[in-house]
Amino acid sequence: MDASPPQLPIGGLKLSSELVQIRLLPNSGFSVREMLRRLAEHRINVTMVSLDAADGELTGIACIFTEDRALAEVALQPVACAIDMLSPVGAVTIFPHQARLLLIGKILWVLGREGLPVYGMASSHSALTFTTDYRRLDDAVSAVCRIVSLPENHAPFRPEFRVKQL
Amino acid sequence: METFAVYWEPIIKTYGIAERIGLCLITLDLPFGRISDGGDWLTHFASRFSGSLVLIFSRPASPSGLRLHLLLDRVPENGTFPGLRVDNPVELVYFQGPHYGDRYGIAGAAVTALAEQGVPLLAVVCTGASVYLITPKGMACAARNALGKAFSSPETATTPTIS
Repeated sequence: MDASPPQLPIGGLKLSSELVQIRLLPNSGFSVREMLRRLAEHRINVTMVSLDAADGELTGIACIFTEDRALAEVALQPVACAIDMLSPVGAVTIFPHQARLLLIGKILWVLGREGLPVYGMASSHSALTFTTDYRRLDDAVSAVCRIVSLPENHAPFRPEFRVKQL
Repeated sequence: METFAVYWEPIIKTYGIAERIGLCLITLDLPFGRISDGGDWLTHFASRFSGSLVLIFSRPASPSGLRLHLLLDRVPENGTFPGLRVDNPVELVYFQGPHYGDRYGIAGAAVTALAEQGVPLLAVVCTGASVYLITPKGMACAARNALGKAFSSPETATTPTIS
C-alpha cells in the first residue's frame, strides 16, 4: 500500500472519556443476558456492545465508564470467572463512514502499521467506533488523520460533560 | 457544576423498529499483530465488491486476535478466501431511541425480549443511540414482534385521547 495514501473526507472525530472494556469469555457457562441484566440492575450504562455467536453462544465485549468499574465489579461478582476487564480503554468515533469499506480498511491498516491496538469495533449506519489503549488515544487520532481529511477548523470532540441516568 | 434531570418512561421508547432481510455476514479472525494485513484485505475487498456494507463490528478472539464481522447486503462475488466464515442469508432488526447512549438497560432489554420469545441471535451491536440485532434467516419478523412487546415505537404507541 502507498505510504502516503490520498485522504478520505469525513465529517469529524469524537473521543470518549476513559472506559473499561468488559469481555464475556466464550463457553463460560454464563449468558450475555445475565451479564447485561446485572449491569442494568446496578444502573451501569454500557456505551458500546459488540457480541457474536460465532463460537455457538453470544459472547463479546461491552464498554462502561471507568468511574463505574468498582460498581461493575460488585454487580458482576457472581459471574467474575466468566469475564475479564481491560483498562484503560478509549473509543474513537469516526463520522460519517458512509459505508466506505475502503475508509475502514485504511483505518485498520494505519492503526496496525502504527502498532496501535484495536480492542473492538462497532458501527452504526452513520458512525464507526473503535476502542484502543486510552493512553494512546492521541496517537490513534494522529494515525487516523493521516488517512482522513477533516472539515476546516475541526478538532476532535472530547467529552466535556456527561449525561447520567439516575 | 452538576445538573440533575429525571427522565422516566413506563416502557422504553424507540423511534421505530426496522428490519432487513437477505443479508450476508462474513467473519474473519485476525491476529493482533496482523491488523494492518486485515486493513489491506478490506481495502482490496472494497475495490472488488459491488454491494454495500451494512455494519462492521469486532471483538477480541482468544487467545490473541480480533474477530472481525462484516454485514453486507449481498454475498461477495469473489472476495472470499479459506478461513473466512460466511453466514448467508441472515437478517437484521434495528432501532434507535432517545438518549440511548446515556442510558442503562437498553441492550439488556433487547436481548431479554428476544430470549423470552425464543428468537436466536447471531450478533448484537450497540453504539450511540442505535441497537442492531442479527438473526438467522426467517427470524427477523419474530424478532421485531418480540421487540414490539417490550419496547414502544410510533406504530405501537397509543395516541392519548383528548377530552
